Amino acid sequence: MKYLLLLFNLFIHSYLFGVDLITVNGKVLSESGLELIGSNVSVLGTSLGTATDINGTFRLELPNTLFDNNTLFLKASYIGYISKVDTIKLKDIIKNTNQINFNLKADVMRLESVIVTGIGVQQETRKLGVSIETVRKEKIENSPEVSLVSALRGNVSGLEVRKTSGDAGTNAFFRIRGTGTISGGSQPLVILDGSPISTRTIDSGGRETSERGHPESSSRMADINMDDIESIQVLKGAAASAIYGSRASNGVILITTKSGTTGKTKINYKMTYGISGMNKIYPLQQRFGQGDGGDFVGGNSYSWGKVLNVKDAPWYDSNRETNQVYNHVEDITEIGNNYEQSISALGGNEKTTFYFSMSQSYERAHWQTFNEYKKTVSTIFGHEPTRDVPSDFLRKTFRVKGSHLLTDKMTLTASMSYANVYGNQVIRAHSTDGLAKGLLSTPPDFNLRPYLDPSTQYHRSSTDPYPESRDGDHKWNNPYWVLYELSQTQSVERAFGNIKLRYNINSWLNLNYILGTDFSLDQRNDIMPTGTYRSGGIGRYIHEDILDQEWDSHFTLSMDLKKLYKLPLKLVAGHNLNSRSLKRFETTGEQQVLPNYYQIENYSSLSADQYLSLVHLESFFIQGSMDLLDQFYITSAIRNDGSSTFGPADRRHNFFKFSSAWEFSKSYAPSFLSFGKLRFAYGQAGEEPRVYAIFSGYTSPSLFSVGEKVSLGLNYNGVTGYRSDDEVSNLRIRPERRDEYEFGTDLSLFDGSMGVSMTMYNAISSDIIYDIDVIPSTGADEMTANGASIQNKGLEVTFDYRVLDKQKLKWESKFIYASNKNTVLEMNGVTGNMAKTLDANLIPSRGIAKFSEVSPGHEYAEFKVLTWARFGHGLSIDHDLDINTPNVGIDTIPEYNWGKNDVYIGKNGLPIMYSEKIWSGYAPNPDWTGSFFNEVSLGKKIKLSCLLDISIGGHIANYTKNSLYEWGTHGDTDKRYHPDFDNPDWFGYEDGVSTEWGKGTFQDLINHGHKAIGPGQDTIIVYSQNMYENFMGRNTDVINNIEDASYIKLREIALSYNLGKLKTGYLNNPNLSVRFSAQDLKTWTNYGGWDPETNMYQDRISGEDYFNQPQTWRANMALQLSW
Amino acid sequence: MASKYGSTIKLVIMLKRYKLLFFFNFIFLSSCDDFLSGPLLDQNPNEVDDVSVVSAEALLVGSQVTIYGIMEGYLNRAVSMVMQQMSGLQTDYYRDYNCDPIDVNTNGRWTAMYGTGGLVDLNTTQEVAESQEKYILLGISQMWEALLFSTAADLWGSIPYSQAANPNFSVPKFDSQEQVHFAVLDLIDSAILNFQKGQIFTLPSDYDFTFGADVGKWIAAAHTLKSRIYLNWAEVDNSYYQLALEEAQLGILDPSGLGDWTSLHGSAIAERSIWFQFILSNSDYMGAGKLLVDMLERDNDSRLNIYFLGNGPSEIFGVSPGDSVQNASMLNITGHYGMQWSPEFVTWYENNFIIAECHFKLGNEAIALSTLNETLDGIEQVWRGRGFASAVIPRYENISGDTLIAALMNEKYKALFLNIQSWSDWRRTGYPKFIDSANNSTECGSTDNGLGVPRRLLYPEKEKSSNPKCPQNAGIYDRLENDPF
Repeated sequence: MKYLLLLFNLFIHSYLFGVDLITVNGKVLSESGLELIGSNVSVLGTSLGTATDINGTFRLELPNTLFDNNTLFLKASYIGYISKVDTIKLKDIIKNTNQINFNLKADVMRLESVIVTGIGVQQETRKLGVSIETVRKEKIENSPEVSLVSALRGNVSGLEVRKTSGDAGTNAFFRIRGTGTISGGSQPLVILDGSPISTRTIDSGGRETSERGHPESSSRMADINMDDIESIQVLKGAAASAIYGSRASNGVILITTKSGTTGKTKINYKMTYGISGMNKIYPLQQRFGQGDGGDFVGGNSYSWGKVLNVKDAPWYDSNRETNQVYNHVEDITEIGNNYEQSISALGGNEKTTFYFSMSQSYERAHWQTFNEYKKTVSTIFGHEPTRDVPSDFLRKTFRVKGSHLLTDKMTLTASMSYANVYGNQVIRAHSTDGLAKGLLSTPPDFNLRPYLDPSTQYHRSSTDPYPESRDGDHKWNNPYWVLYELSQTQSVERAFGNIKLRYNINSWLNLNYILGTDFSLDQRNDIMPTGTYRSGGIGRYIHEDILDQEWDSHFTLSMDLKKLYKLPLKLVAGHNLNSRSLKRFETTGEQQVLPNYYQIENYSSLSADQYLSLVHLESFFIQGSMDLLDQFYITSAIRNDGSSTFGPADRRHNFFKFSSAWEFSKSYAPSFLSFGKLRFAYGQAGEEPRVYAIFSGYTSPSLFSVGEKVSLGLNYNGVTGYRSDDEVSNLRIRPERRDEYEFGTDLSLFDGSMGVSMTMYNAISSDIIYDIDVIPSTGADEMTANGASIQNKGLEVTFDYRVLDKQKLKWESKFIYASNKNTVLEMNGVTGNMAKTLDANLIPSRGIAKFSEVSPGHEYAEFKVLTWARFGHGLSIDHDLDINTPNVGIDTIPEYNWGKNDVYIGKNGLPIMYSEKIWSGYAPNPDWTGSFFNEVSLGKKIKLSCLLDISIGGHIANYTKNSLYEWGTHGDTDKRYHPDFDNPDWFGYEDGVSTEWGKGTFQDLINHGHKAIGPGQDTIIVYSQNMYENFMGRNTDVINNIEDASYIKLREIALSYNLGKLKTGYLNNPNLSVRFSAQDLKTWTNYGGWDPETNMYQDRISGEDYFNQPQTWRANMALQLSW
Repeated sequence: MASKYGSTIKLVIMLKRYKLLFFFNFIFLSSCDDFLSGPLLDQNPNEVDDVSVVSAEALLVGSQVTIYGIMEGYLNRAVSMVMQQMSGLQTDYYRDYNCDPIDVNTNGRWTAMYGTGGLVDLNTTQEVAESQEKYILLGISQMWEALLFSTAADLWGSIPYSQAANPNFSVPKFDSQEQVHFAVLDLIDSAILNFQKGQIFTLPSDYDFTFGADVGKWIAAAHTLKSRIYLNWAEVDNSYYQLALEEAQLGILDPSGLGDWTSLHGSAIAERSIWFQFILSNSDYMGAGKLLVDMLERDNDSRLNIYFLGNGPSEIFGVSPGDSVQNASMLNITGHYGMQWSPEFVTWYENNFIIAECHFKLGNEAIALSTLNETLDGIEQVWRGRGFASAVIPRYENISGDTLIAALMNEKYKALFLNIQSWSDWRRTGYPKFIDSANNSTECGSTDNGLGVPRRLLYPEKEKSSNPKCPQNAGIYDRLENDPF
């Protein structure tokens, strides 16, 4: 209050009597004398302040009226240093000693900072009893990614992020501290300025969980302009996130956006331009041509044809005509590009502040554009493709935020963001319409260009090289057809924001009310012209409108009882109402009438589908925080949630949390320890059931699957039919729960130049919701029920070290490590131990992806796959394929010294397929993830940084390889047998060279170091088409192609240069800085596919590669002007 | 102000002073009771929650379409591979064709049999129809149940039936194949009685996709289905030939095809033929079976080019299990087997084949032969009527004994192309022989003494894992009750 009076006095004095301005100059330096550029220097108790320039100096002109009793308090602060307050005496200044220098102590732990811990409560980092990690805004601002999630890669311990692909606007799979759910998403709740926002990724076709065979859809996380972000807090454990109750079991990400500040208006303009390219060329064979059985067969799907006379082959004969081969992958790519422009302005006065920004981001993927394609063919006969650019993404954003002091106690803040997002995607992953399918499966001697038959202009592919009808008879699409003739677009209009009212009722009580909304209209067009493989080439068009809306009303009352009763207790009580709705309208047209015309009326067969949902949540919460003896900090909270998704019999649920911290360094501190804290926390957080799990009625689907891409509908023969829902209602459904304990310590060492933070956690997710199989013959198929528990436990370590802090050289280093061990403890009453004694058929199991399943005693998402008969699984096989021979338990054959997953080899030298899927022992979850970040400042202007992103352990099922083995295009099939090799009349015949090519034992084909054991283990076999098709193909063993997904990526290397104030006289002499960066230039991995980070299921689960899209490297230059 | 009041009193005064603000939030608080309920919250807007709103006729539509999915989907494909009318070339279809099926693949259609659109909804339809005295509707629903579960018992043997889809039984028992078939015979009798009762309210003919509520055609089809069931037990007891003959003589006697029990498919997205969709979307998974191709080729039977795609016999290829070459001709989805093809479940020609077989078994070989040729005449006429004007299929003269029964059963095998009943015919009679034109065995594992021909389907993994009463180790070569020899 006195400060406001002071300001008032200042105003009156300056108005009535005139005011003398006192100039205060100074410098902000580190203890080692390094100038700290951009430090904040402010007058305590006022909003007046400034920042240091490139020399670390500041200059403040202050009215003499500010000096209270001739004294004024000036505070200097800088990230990574302990703030300092200095007293300025008016008389000293009058004596011209107005040079104020601050020497700040290092604080790599940023203990002094204040962070948001949820529901709007702020707390000093040093007092936290839970694990909350803050991401600096520079990390976000500097990222060239369009999606916030991808920008977080390598920056937060325990936050695992895998970007789906290198396509434009691509989204990412991300999770915190492992997965503790089955049917629920693993994505955290995201709160922006106190209101939840949508992070949905809605796949084309309406599925929220994206699946293979669909174009990739952008995540709503990509709608945020990252330049608007001030800071990000990641609430990792249930203890931190419990205050968000039944939506927080996957953790919470709190985003705080930039606000206006008083003083001079600051304007910032940034322009980024970058390029990108594919980071790997897929290994495909180039020595054998299209055909079957060793002979050329035109139009055939296989590459098991003739031996090609190509230069790098051992049989190459320069006297004969050299066969032309094509590198399809190289041919179809080019350099992609991206650019971004953003401008922001912030400022204000004592009453009103504002922030405003606009941005435009564009990405074009590395696939060849039609314009470039035109140059590779002699003519296109004037053809107009459906699209010129196959994969691009454009986002335009606009944000405004303002704050106004309504009265001296009441502040109104309002913000609104608008995003207009256009995405143009390529069909991905396994789909006969997908890009990679045709790209990797086409024989090397087939020229994919032109993709339109010159004489008919019909779609031409290796499986229909001379199309005689527009519909065609393809087995898959020509990849150029996928790029230019198919079209999957997404157009999103989104507005989100909130209004906040803060009322400081008195010094110990204040009230906050936030009303937030998030609205988006997402429109999709999915076009497959006549001639596309799907549905026999008749053409299909799907149009979808998706309206997604969320309202959130949040009320809190905060009391500081220390000011009231001298009790060191702060209480926050609140109430929350939340409403989420989704409306989806989908129209499907089939049988295109006129070619090249894409209006729904141009399809002779139409069907429509509509989906509506609404969820309401209503909650009360109270939280208390107490400081004891200035070294013990305790926080406890309880939240009561009622949701329309819970069963009416069990509608309200409580979520509790407790955390404590002891700053032991206040009692005991050896000389090297400047700060030490022990902390313990426990919390419960939840996950809501799916909407409408409590209801089961009758439906009339316009289309429903009857298996294997076959669908029927109930609007049939002119009448409408109904069927009962195949899911039984569950009126007792309740939320999933994550109970989590965590212990940790935070240490600041060597005068704050080194910081170590360690957290051990153990989380049990129970009452996990999944679709429990009901005995089918009871008439029910599944029931959504609470019936599983999963444990996640792990260790997180963050190590910060300011290695050097010299005038000309400053070096900061950060290493983060996070391990996670996951076990499915129980499902439907069956524990892991019980499962060991039960018949395999009676053990509950739930498939969550093509190969990933969940079952008690196993790691989450362990691959359960088809296999050759392998040792260590108790398999009994008909080892000689004779119906009269009893099965043999191979593990019990005494002469074999086997290890788990070694392969049984029959007397013919080949393995034997086992008839059921087995648990592979491999799962996609990494053993640990981490990163190593280094930043070196050279002098005042140059900064170099390098980030290594690390993921160790975990596997990926490379099923693409199975498929390509079968088609005969994979690079490994280069080592194959062809009958010509044994034919002395063949031009390349050379005894001992060609005669040995493509022969060996089966052992040579086995990965993972597993052994080939059995009567035929030493038998030399020929690696023939038959062998690859029947023993290495799609319906054979998958374990052999489950590969180590470990990687270390040079996630970013960057150089920034601050040129300082431009004194050109133009543009009002802005400050200019430039930044050069490169991302993902190098990946160290043993993975044989595109990239271990590539992901088939987008945001739902990682670890499966079935014709996934490749990843990219990127290089960027950013130029920033600021005033 | 700070010292004027005690702290507690201060709080009360403050609350009063700022009552307007608190009222602001109480607007929400007071609405809490209602906030979790209301439109779109108390009901799934995407479903109808009351069976009285959904008519029994609409449920019948749902069941008919669902049963198309069962009768023409994976089960039909699996049987066509066992009987080598079609071959499995890739993925799980390669395994199926090589007698190495996976039990998860029967999950979907088994679940559909009992669940939504299946027995659960058939039961509801029948309860509602009976209470509303809609006896024709009731009879039609019973007939679909009879077709579905008699077929299921043919495929698996013992299956849950008497306790299935019944809320009183949480773990349904498995009834023997005999119990199921004879319960189905009773159900058909009940259906016939219901057809004969008729109903006061007219059943809108559009809801009955089979006969447009033509009672006479339903009764005839009911007798043919009964006849088929009796016939399938004749290996156990020869007296069933007489019963089968008597039922067949009351069965479908209209050779035009208008009395045949078929599915209904059209060109609309929601109505396209299942085989057509499957072949289109899963190109190369399945092709022609060598056994059938050789047989049609040997007999100069025009159906070779009707069934499979290719110009003339020289372009039609079939594959046998174990063949290394996987270059089989495709089902002719550009011809007769296109999007509107409606597979036949119970037909006049099957009825006639039953009559012929029964006469043969009852010692009337002359009638059997004439009935065979009469049936082939009718089939030929049907194909010619479908636009294959020059269709020619064989006739037989002066044959008897094994030659006659072989001709009869081979012709039935060819005619019942993609009809599940052909498996029961082989189990009962041993025809067709699994030998190709080069006199090689086409049985699985033929190069290694032969594994044989599967005699039943695997129980689905889902039922095995959840129902302790489900036989756990039944293999594909195990014999069914009505297949003792």
